Amino acid sequence: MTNRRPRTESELPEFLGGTTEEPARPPARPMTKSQRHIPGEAGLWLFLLGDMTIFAAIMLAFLWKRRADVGGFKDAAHQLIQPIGGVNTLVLLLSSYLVVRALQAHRAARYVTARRLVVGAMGCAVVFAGLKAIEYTAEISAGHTPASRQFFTFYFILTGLHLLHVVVGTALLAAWQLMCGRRRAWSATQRVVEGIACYWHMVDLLWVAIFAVVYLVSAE
Amino acid sequence: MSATTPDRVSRVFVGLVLATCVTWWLGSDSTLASGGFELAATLSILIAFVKIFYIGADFMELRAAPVILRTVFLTWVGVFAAVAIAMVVV
Repeated sequence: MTNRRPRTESELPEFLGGTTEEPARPPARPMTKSQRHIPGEAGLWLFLLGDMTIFAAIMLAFLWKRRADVGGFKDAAHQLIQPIGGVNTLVLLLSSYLVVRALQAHRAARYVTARRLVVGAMGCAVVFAGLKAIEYTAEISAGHTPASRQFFTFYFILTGLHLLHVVVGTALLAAWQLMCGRRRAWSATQRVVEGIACYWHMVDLLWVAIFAVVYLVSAE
Repeated sequence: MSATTPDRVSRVFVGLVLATCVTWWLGSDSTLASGGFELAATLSILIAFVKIFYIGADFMELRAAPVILRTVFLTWVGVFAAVAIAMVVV
């Protein structure tokens, strides 16, 4: 009787997802005070924080308008399909987790694993967009359009802008998985890949805020 | 702050999923029927911003980022959360 141990990715043939080269060790994480690492690059963070601030301003304007018509906003929020919002939150959290693991795999030169994880995150984005399409169809069929009530004006602006970010993020993830397919080295792609990952996490955290403010708080 | 390890990322992910379930439950009609609307709303916002903090710290790897970037992100989270709660409660 022989003891069989599970094969690691590097030991598997390439067509089964194994790597043909010796997996490189991830670069040592710079943790000293003077060498702390900016994910992506500084300019990207100006864009991300600016984008986040625009969303925050719209959500705060939404909460400000709500103060003048708490009952109307509550009634309108109850027209939303809350389970779709909740499931979409979980779907985006899962996609973010897959992106983190993909980043770790790419750092370790495990390109096949990284590519699969990125494709998984793209699948989550498709599920999110599909559920959003179902929700939009239901709302518009029920006569809830951007022009019908102030609540729905904000709802369509916030979720529409967010959906646009999901589409852009999915295109960026597609570019990343192509880089993995071409086995682009971490050193050559670090800034771009970290930037794509951070952009996707921003899409996730914005939805967390939108779900809390529009779907939950307004209904309370 | 330390670098984010795979184990920690998995724990954070599970925590985020559980927190989402809690906020969802807080916003459900059966929970609201028992009263405490302002408390439920405040808790929903608080939990949401704790989640956002962890997404930034562990998923965006801001734990390993320079102090200035972490400070700006934390300020964004804190100010947005405080103003949002004030608008709901006050």
